[in-house]
Amino acid sequence: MGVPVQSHKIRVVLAKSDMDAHDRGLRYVAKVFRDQGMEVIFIRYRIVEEVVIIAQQEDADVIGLSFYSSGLVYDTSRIMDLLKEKQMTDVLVILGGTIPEDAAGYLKRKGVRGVFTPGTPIKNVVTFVKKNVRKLEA
Amino acid sequence: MFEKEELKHIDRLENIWQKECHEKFREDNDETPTNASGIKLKPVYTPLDVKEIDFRDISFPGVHPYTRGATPLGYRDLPWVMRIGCGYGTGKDTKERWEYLKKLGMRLHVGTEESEDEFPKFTILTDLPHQRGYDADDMVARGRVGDCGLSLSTIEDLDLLFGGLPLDKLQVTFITYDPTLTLTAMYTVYAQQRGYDISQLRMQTPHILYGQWNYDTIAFPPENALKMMVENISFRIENIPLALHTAISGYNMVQCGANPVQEVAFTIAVGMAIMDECYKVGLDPDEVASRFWYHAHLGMDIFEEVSKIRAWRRLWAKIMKERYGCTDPRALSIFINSMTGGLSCPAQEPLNNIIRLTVLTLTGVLAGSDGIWTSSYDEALAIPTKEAAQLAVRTQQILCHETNIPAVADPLGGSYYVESLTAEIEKRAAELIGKVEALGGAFKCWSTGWFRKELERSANEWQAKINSGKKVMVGVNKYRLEKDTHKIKVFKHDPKYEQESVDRVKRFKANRNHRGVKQALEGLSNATEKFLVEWPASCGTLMPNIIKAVEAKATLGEIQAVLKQKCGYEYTY
Repeated sequence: MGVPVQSHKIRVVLAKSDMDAHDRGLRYVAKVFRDQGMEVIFIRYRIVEEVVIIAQQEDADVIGLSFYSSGLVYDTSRIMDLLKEKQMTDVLVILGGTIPEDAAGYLKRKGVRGVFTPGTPIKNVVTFVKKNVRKLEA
Repeated sequence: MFEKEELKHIDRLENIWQKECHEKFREDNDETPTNASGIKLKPVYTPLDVKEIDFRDISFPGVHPYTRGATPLGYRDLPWVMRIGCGYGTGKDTKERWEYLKKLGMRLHVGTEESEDEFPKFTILTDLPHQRGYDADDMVARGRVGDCGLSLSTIEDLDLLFGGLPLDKLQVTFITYDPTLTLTAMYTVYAQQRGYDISQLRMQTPHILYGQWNYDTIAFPPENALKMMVENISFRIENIPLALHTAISGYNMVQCGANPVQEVAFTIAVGMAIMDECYKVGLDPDEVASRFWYHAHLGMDIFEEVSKIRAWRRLWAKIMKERYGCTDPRALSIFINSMTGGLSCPAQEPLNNIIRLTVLTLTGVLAGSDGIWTSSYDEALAIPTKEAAQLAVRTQQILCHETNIPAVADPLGGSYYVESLTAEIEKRAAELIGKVEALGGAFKCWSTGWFRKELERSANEWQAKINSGKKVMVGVNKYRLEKDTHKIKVFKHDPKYEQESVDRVKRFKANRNHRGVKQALEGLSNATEKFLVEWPASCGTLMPNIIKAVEAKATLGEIQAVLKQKCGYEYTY
């Protein structure tokens, strides 16, 4: 752990607060990502700072966050600020859950690249990640 | 139920009918519609499909096995309870929404006249920090206080909500999770401080500590969760006997993937596991069973869902009678609160959900639910706006007043289709309960992850059907617009809720006897350890110590921290 892995597999940290029960969608995304050959690190965090620490340790290419409104704006803003601080802005950040449009707009302006609400076909999420992930080292 | 000669005649008719649609009628091919329980549906049902059923299994409403409902006259006697929840910000903000719903005519029982003694049911959603036992000023609570639920950390927070209201006339359900014991203690201490006799209180919490097997949240481990649940039951039977004590929740498990047969089987298995543990501590089965409520999920397949609830009632009554010797009708036929399923209400074209929620609420009514929770069309976007909440209230009122459905109990009873489905779901659920028992019971199936695997499998099956288009969601995977230009107003969370709540907790903490709090929490810590080790003899010793801590002005978060430390608070998998 902590040693960056040289791999052509896309490494994704999928994260949700350990207070929030609504994880069915995220678990499904994890399953599909794994079926698609991505390396998925699935975490439940107590405080949002943990997500960035783990993403750094795991050399994540993608961070996927899941919310049902509660904590959405605070946690995501905090993660975007931390990624900037740690110069990790090439990590692709995507969001899923019950996310109203104006919150989505605000978070996109902070650097979140994809927002996927319930009912989004899973293939759209996969395509988006593959298209927008940073260039992977061979 | 039918004469042999009559059945032969019907059989002959069916053969004629089959010849008529010979080309179109094919049995057992891939195109045969199948419901979520996995039962293949016939194009039409006849007495032949119900010939094995004894009418005594269907019987009358209010008569064992209560297939047709708990009370003899159904809604004529007692219309359903309007359980529409609300909660955000502080008690002051939540009360504003509750007053608005009251103004719309929300009553305890739908359609009843307003009276000074009649208060609508207060169904209160709490915020995530509270649900997980953190005070508003806890670091973990940042960004979540008063969001999607009421912030509640101290006994003073209760007064913001209930100050000036007659506690002996209110029916309150707090939708909370972990801190049930603590909240119960706070509510009873609050009521006593206001001069009320706590035996007159009607305050309940679902106490779904077992819900953790559905999803990956951190939680109390199974064996200790069960002890806390029984402690709550024991305390409430003795001290707050008018209130229900525990929800047997099908809703959460269906949202996590359970199909109707799993919902029936796993919920009843949970009830059985709790009953078994209550028996160990010497509680009377009738006293325990009569104070559960079943929180049923409502899905879009009207006839399957109505049949499911009928099957549930029948199976529960039989098991409570045969296995536990219950004789009290209220133990054999418990309160069923049905909730419209969020799973059926997507974010795309949210106004479509008005139609869906009407279908879902109608299903709850046709099933004879004792209480119904109708969600709002913006379910997938945020907590309800006033407009959306208004429609939820109106949906129930229109179904009550304008359709004549409440005039007749179990109106779908006797349908060959519904009776056939009811019997089949009961049969499959009974088999699945047998499997759960063979694996060691519900709490064992939680610990080993078996429940989780079963639910995940169902969830993936459901998702595969959505992906392939086999299961259609209009506007989502069929007829989907590139861009939905119709915008709706969405609830805006006010950031001031958090600051207000944090300030309140800080002030509360500053104004108390610190040594008294410390002593009470130490006492609680020792008592909890003893409670766990000396179980079941120690049943009844935990609550008095939680009450002492509340009286000493410990906060919810402080008390929960002690309980978490002693009981464990972890991921089961």
